[in-house]
Amino acid sequence: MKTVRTWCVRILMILFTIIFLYPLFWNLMSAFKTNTEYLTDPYALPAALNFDNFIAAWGKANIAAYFGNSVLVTVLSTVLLLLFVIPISYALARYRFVGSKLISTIYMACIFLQATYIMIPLFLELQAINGLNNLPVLCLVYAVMQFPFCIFTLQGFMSAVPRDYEESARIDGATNLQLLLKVMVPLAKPGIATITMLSAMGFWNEYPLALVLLTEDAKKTLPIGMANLFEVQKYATDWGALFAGLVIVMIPTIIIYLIGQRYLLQGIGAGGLKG
Amino acid sequence: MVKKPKLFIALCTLPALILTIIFMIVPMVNAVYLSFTSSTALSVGFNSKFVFLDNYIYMFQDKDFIRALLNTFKLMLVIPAVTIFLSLIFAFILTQGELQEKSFYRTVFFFPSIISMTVVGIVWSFVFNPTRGILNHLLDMFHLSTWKHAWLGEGKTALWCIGAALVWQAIGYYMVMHVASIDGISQEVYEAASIDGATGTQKFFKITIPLLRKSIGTTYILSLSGTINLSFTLSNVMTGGGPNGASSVLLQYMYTQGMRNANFGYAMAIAMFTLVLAIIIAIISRKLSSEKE
Amino acid sequence: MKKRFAASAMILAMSAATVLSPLTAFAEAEEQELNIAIFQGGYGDAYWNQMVELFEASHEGVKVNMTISPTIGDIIRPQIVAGNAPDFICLNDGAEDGVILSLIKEHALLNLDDVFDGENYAGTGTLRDDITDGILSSTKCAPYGDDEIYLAPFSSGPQGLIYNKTFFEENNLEVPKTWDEFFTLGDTLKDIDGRALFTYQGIYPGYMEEMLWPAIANECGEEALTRIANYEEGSFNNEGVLKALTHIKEIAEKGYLLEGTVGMNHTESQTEMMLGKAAFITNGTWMENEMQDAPREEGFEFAMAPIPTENADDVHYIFDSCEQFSIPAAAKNPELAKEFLRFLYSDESVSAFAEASGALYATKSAREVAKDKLSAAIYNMYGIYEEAKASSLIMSFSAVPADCKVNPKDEIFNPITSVMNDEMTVEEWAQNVEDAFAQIRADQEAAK
Repeated sequence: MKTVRTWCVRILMILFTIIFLYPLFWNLMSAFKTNTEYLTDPYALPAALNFDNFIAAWGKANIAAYFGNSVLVTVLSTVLLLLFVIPISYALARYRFVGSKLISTIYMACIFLQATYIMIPLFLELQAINGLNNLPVLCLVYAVMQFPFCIFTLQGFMSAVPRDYEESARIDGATNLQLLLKVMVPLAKPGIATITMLSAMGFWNEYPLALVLLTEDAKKTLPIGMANLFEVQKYATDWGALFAGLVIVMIPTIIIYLIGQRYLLQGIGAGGLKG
Repeated sequence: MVKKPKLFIALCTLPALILTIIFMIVPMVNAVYLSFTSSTALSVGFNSKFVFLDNYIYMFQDKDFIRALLNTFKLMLVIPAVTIFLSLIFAFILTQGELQEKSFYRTVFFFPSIISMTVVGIVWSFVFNPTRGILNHLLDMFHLSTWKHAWLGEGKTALWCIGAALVWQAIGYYMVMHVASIDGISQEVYEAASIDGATGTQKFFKITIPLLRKSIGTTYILSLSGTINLSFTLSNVMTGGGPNGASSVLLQYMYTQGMRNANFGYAMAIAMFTLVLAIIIAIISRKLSSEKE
Repeated sequence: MKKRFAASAMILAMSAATVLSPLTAFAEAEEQELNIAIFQGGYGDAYWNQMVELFEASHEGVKVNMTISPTIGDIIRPQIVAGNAPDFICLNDGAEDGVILSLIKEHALLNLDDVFDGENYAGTGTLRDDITDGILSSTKCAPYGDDEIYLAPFSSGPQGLIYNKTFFEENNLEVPKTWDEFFTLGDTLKDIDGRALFTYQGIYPGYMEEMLWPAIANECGEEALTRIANYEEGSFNNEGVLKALTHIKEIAEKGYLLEGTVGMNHTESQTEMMLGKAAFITNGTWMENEMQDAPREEGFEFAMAPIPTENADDVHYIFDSCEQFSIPAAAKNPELAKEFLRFLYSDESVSAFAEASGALYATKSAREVAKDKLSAAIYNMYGIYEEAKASSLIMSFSAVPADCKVNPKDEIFNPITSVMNDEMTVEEWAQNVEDAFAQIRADQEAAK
């Protein structure tokens, strides 16, 4: 009886596994097909493991260069984000000061504020300070856009860390900075890992802001390059290269995910609901 | 309690606050200002006429806006409920069920939520493709050809195709959050229920859901705001708001007015309206979920 | 006050430039830069690479910076807003991104009258005389309806119903002349191999202009289109237009539309048609080039037929495509951009375009100049004009006021999907368009 029930549940889960994976698997399969193969039977396995589409996508959409830009933007934005977010989260979690309540509330409210809403004024502002087509400036903007969510999450994490550790370190004569870096950061590692990964993947995938704030071809990031590829595909009927391009974009996220998923899954669960 | 280290606090908070003001608050204030002007792509801000509430008044005479608003409401009514319910079931199975391969499902189910929304949109466009799409192919396989549709091309189905993609990409995320909250429930509660002969379904409805009320409240708000924001990319990529506006949503219509018709002022009015709507809904949901406790 | 001063300063500067230009053009050895932004569509990029090379070779000290992309509008919009407009743009007013449309709305394009009144590149006459009749005075080129040219015509070609000539010949089928014959053919096809009569570029219903405008012209006469283009009251919700709309609806209602059409994009529907799933598709001469890598049914041969008419001896209107060039008023190097424009109409360029892209410039001699460069299929498609009683048709909306929130093309073409899906009646369709026109008229009134 029990095994029957377990198997019913298992079948349900397998069914959903298929729903979650099949569209992606189908995409991967199509990336290896020639146009004719795709058009005659989109469900057959590819005739050969042929990488032509990947080469076409890599060359045609200038993906190599975009890839480099995306790596730079993702790394720099993440570093900037952590640099600013860890101290303020710590201050908000541990001290009550003038306006601390207000700051927390504002950041919480701003979780709803997506870049899309303020795309146009942001563009006008950066244009005025000559910040368009400037990758470091873009990184700064990316980092700021992640502040609300990350501060909200990390503050929750840090509040949950017992104060005892800091108290005993303080008795040993640690400075405030040391308390933050030597005591809190290691203890909040799962939380930091969570926001790092979620943000990094967000930066890697970001599209609307990059579309508006980067107009020089040499500065573009991968999602914009991909969008170009989709458009080219529309006029050149090259389905294979499109699917290959999609796979190329997904690979880095998959790698980060598989490496860091333990932290990520724990982190979301623990941090997301504290507030 | 030690004395407040004022300098340390200032050094911790000020850099982030200043950047927030420059790149978030200032554009936000500008957005509000623009929404009161007739700014267009080439005459922005002070060069354009101050029209005060005209843009907001026009909105409610604009049938395309009304449709985008209604579509957004439809999604908000259905998508968070479905997403949260399914994610709760999966979370329950993963924590209380007896499957050895639990962690495999967890990895797989979460996977879609890390993929770029643009990619999600394109992949799902192929799921719903009328001739080579996965869905129509499946219907053929099961001899249900009469159920076939040009999913993204029909007014009755297009919006729900976007909805399906939204649910697909979000379930895993909320599932992981719920797993953590269920882990927080003492195992003894479930054991006691088992001794009393409770079935899995009973445990789910009698223990899990009531005890998780607060965290469900939070995930529900997150899902509402996700629906408003993410439907933009999907609608843009999958249908462009079509056919004939049947799948246009608020932010997508903002984008059309701002970027395609170059009406910056009107677009910002729509953006501000949407933002206020999102915040109001969040406040209401929060009130409701905390009252019930 | 400030504006007037700026304008007079500009006139001064311009007249100085015209006086000095013959001298400076040759005397100046220093490098001049020309920034051009090109839409990369069905024609590909080979032609443009060639032109840049030729122009640089024939104009010493000129460096051309070309940005070519299928999303060129999204790329240049921010540049234009940032006051960094390209010198020369090749993009249509009907493009999805709406960039040209907003430049027109904002009166931000450079007047090109002097280019067309000036000499052509070969120096054999005025350029105006070289351009196909009627185009320069249409709203495609003179968007404010006052004969002042702000957009220069690029390629022009017939659009109509593309079909597979081989299939028609093998099955002894006549190309239908009237709507009755058209629908009868639909039944015949069901008996031959079950292919559908018609498909179109589903999610981009704007392509249906190639059918809608000729159908309306057939029902109500050519001048009806001018009334529509000016948003006149009652120009859309009337008996004649309703008849044309009804024919379009009948395609789906009577089961002649390829299943799934409404969900396809242009390459998908065009591929289906070439694979023999549908007999006709609305499209222009660029289709051969655009679909060169696409699979097709055996023996596929491109041909083009006019849109059916009410009676067999009616004039068959053919809706011409007309792509456009423009120069932003804020261009940094407008004189060089004008020179580039003149250069593009040279025989060398016209023939290179025909060879690389299989399409023709909107010049009178284009077909002659490029005769041996065009593929047989495309030459045949152009032959549509030679059919008895064919007449070419141009239609373009007059500019709406700058802060108008209605896009007339969206209002007219987006409902086609709903009509095809039987989610909307033709009467509702026509009334919605009338409502939109009323809003535009109100906005025009307010802008005065």
